[in-house]
Amino acid sequence: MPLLQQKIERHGIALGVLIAIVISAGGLVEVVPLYLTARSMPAAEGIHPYTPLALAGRDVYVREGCYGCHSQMIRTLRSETARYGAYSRAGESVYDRPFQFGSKRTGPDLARIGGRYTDEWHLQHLLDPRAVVPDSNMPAYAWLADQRVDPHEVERRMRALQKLGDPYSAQDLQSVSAQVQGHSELEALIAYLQGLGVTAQH
Amino acid sequence: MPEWIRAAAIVLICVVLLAGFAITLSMARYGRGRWGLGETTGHVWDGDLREGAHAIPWWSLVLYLGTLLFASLYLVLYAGPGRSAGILRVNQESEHAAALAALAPQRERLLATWRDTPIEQLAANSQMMAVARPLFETQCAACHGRRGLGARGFPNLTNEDWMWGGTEQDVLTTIREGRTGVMPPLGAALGAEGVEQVIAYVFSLSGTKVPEDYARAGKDKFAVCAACHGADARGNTAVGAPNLTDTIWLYGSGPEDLREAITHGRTNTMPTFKARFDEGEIRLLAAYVFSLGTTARNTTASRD
Repeated sequence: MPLLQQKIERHGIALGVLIAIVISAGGLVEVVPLYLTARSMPAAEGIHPYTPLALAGRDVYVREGCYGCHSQMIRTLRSETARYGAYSRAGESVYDRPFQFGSKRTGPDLARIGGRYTDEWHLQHLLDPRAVVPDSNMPAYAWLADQRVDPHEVERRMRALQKLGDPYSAQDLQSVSAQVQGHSELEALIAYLQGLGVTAQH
Repeated sequence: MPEWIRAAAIVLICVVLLAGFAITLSMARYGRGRWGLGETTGHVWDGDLREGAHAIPWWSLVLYLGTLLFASLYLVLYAGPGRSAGILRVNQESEHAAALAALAPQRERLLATWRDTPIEQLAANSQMMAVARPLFETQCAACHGRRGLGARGFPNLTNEDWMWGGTEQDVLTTIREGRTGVMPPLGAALGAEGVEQVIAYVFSLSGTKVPEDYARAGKDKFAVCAACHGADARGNTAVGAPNLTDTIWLYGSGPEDLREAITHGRTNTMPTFKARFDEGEIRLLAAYVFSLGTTARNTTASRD
């Protein structure tokens, strides 16, 4: 029996410390590059942090679990780019925390849904999907029309994102109230959807 | 941190890991501490529990090393580690480009055909319409319905009522450039009573029985509407003002629908598709729209 192994195995504390070192090394090797990548990944051309209303809409999107049925990731497959547009790139998601790539498509991919339909279409579709797409199995989200966006909450979230490195200016933070006051969550969600993928050119 | 240091670090980690696995596994067979068959590690628990120990068999080591060799080859041939593009230079983007390139001649041929064939002929060509159908269903059906029968606020494409004109050029322009129709709010100008009178007059145009004095008063007030809808209320395709004398209603035929439209106005937009489609595809879709008009009349009207 090898001497070193015997020595280590007979000393509980030494074994524990060495195990901790090995596991930390493995963790660091996996985690540290991700942090560095996140920082060195530049935003794609035309990609800006979300406007206050779109940010509020994004939170509604996440809260309602839209990602459960809609992906936001156009893969590099001809059939996908023919239907949805140019494939998604990493630089387009830098301001998504967390990203909404998703992996389930009960409904269509939404990565480039912005501008494809009118605001009016989205309004009707969210209030009652069957009104515009008779065989849709998407749930209705009519109550979103009755819930107002809270400007203070949006501003707090923008401050948090600012701390994480999103380039919001002091002016952006001041304009939050003016931009979201009085808007319903439905309008916020539509603002978010209408911005998806429109700024990134092919 | 400079890019090359990061890349080098990743390459180093990969090499060290692979080499480390290979050495550790080899030691399990050839290392100094190997044991013979039937030997134990020497530990004894509970008086009689022992841990058997045996050098791993050669085939197991070969399999392990084989996976490491596979991993090494993969890392060299394909993209990674670091920023290496791999010897084969194959990645998902190049695969996508290759898939497009493989179909490009066929696609170009079709697009050229669609650009050069008169729309009427395209619409009559069932093979071409079979190609157009999935295009319509993925790009147009969300608003206009799978059979083009529309929905509230989204025009039916299967009838002869064309808000923006029904010539080939009109339909092509609609798809290519999009359309935005605006009806201004007239509630303040007409007053509550005036709105009701105009509603009565508009209903009378399509043969609905309404109180005559109301309709007469509405007719006088219709002058403000005539700028867009025309004095005869037959609409104006130049500005997308619908014909009010037929029984086709974009937003519903109830008095409340008209009241809402007159009081608050309406804005309706058809998005532009010139960035999404080639001119050939636009012509094909226009042909498909015309083909809907002739086929849908023979089918029972069901909106999907």
